[in-house]
Amino acid sequence: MNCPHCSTTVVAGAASCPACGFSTPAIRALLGGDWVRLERITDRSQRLSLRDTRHLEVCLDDFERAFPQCFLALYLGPLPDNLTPCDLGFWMLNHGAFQSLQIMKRNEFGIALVLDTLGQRAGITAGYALERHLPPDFLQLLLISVGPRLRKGALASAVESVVAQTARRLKTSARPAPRPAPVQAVVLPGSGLSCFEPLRQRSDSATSLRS
Amino acid sequence: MNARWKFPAVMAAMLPLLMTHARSHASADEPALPVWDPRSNAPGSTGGSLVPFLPPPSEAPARMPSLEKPPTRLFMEDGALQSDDLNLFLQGGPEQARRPASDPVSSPLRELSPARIAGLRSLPRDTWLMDPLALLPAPQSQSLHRLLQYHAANATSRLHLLVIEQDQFLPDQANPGLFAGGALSGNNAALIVCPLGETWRSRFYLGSSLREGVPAHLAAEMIRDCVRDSQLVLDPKQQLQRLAVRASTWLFRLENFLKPAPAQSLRNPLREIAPAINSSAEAPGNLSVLWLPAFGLAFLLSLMLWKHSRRATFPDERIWLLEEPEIVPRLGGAFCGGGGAVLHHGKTGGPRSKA
Repeated sequence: MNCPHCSTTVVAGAASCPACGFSTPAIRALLGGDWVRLERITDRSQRLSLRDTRHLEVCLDDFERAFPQCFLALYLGPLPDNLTPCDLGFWMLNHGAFQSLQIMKRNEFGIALVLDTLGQRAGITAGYALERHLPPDFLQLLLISVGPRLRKGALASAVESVVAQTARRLKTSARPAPRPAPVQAVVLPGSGLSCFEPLRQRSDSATSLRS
Repeated sequence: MNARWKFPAVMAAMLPLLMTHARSHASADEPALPVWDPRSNAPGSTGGSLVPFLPPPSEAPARMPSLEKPPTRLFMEDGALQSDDLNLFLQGGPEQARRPASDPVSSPLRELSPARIAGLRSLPRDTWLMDPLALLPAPQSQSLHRLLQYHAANATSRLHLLVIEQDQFLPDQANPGLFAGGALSGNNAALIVCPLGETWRSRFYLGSSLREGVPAHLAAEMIRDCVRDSQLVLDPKQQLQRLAVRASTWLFRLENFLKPAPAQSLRNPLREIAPAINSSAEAPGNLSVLWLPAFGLAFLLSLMLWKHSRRATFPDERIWLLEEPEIVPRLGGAFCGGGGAVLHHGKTGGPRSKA
C-alpha cells in the first residue's frame, strides 16, 4: 500500500512513511486526535442541492443494505494545500464516528470519498478490511472514470457512479446471504390503507399501558 | 535575642491581656451592637434598624436598587438549573433539562376524540401537516409544512403527518382514508400518525399501490429506520422533524417500486384511431422484406427496455457479506492504513492521478 500523502510505498507495520514522515500522530497534530461524529454526507461547500442530497442518501442506503458491513462517507469541501484528499480520508476513517444506517458499523469496512471543491482533487480511501476487495489500481480507475463528471461539476452523478461501481466490484468477492423474512401489514378495511407499526405491542383498548 | 524580634514578641505576649481588657471595657461603657431582625427589613419600619429607609417602589427611580426586588436568578423554578450547570451547554439547553422525565408506564393511553377526528376529515386536501391540538410551535410547524410540500411537489407519493399528544392514539374506528378531505384515499398516499415525544409508537399508513408495490421487508425497514433515526435526539420536536425527513427520503426511494402511471395515449379508446390505421394499412401479403429487420430491431429494443425496467422495479435485494481478513496496521492507523487513490481533475493542471 501507498502513503496517503506522498504515494510512496509503505510496508505493513510501518509506523510512518519513509519518504514524507506521514503518520497518525502527524495527521492528529493537524486535524485533532479525538473521535468526531460525522454524517455520511458532509457538504462543506454547499455544492449539493436538496434533491441531490436526498438522492445520494438513497444510494448510500441501498449500498449499506446490500453490504451490511460496509458504509461510504462523502466529504465535499475546500482543503488546504498541505492536506491531500487521502490525508483527510485516512483521518476520517480513523477518527470518525459515522452516522450511517446502522451506527454500529466498524470503520475498517468504511470508504471515504473526499472531493476537494477548491483544488479540484478527488480522493478515495478504504479501510483495512476492504483493501483486498478494492485494490488501489481499481480505485484509481474508478476515479478516472468519474473524472469527466467531476470536471463538469456533476458531483452527485459522480458520487452515484462511484457507489455503483464499488458495489459491483464488491459483489465479485462477496458471498450472498439470505433475505430477511418479510413482515406482514395490517390492511384496514374500507380505507384502502395498510397500517405498519414499529412495535406490535400496541393494544386496542384505551386503558392499555405504554411499555 | 535580636532587637528586631523584641517588639513582636512583647506584643504577642500582651495580646490576651489587651483583648480581655477591651471586652470588659465594652461591656461596661458602650451600647450593645444592633441585632439583625428580618422583620425590620420592611421600608419605613422603625426599631433602630441599620437598613436605610427606602421610598415605595412607585416613587423610586427606575434604576435604583431595591431591597424588595433582589436581582432575579437565572432560573427561578425549583429544582431548575444552576448557573454553573453543564446542562446549559447541551443541545436543548435548560428547556430540555427542565422537562420532567417521562414515566413510560404510568399513564394510560387516550383515544383521539371523535370531534378532533371529524375536524381532520374536514381539512383541505393539501393539508400535509395535521396538528389538530396545535402541539407544534409556529417555526417547527412551518418547517415541517415546507418539507411535506416539497415532497408533494417532487415525489409521486403524498406524505401526510398527523401529530397527536404523547398519551394519545388513533382509534381503530377512525378511518384515516377520510382525513384531509379524503386525500389519503389515493393510491400513493402515506400517512404517519406520530405521538409527540413517542415516535416509537408511530403508525405508518400506506396506500394500496405503495403497499402492493413495495416489498414488505422494505416497508418494515423504512419504519424501523425512521423510528431509530428520530430517537437519536431528545427533543420531541426534533424527533418529529427527523422522522418526517427520513420518511420522505424513504418514500423517494420506494418510488422505484411503483408502477408508472398509464400514458394518455393508452387511456384513449382504440376505436377512435382504428379507422385511420385501417385506411392506410397494407395487406399482409404486401409487406416488404425490409420490414423484417425493423421488426427484429424493435423486438430487441423492447426486450432490452423490459429487462431494464424490470431491473429498476425489482432491484437486487440480496445481502452480500465480505470476509474479514487479518489486519496488519500501517502508519499507526487503527482502521485505515491509507489504501486509496487520488485524482486531480482540474482543467488547468490536466488530469493527474496517483494511487
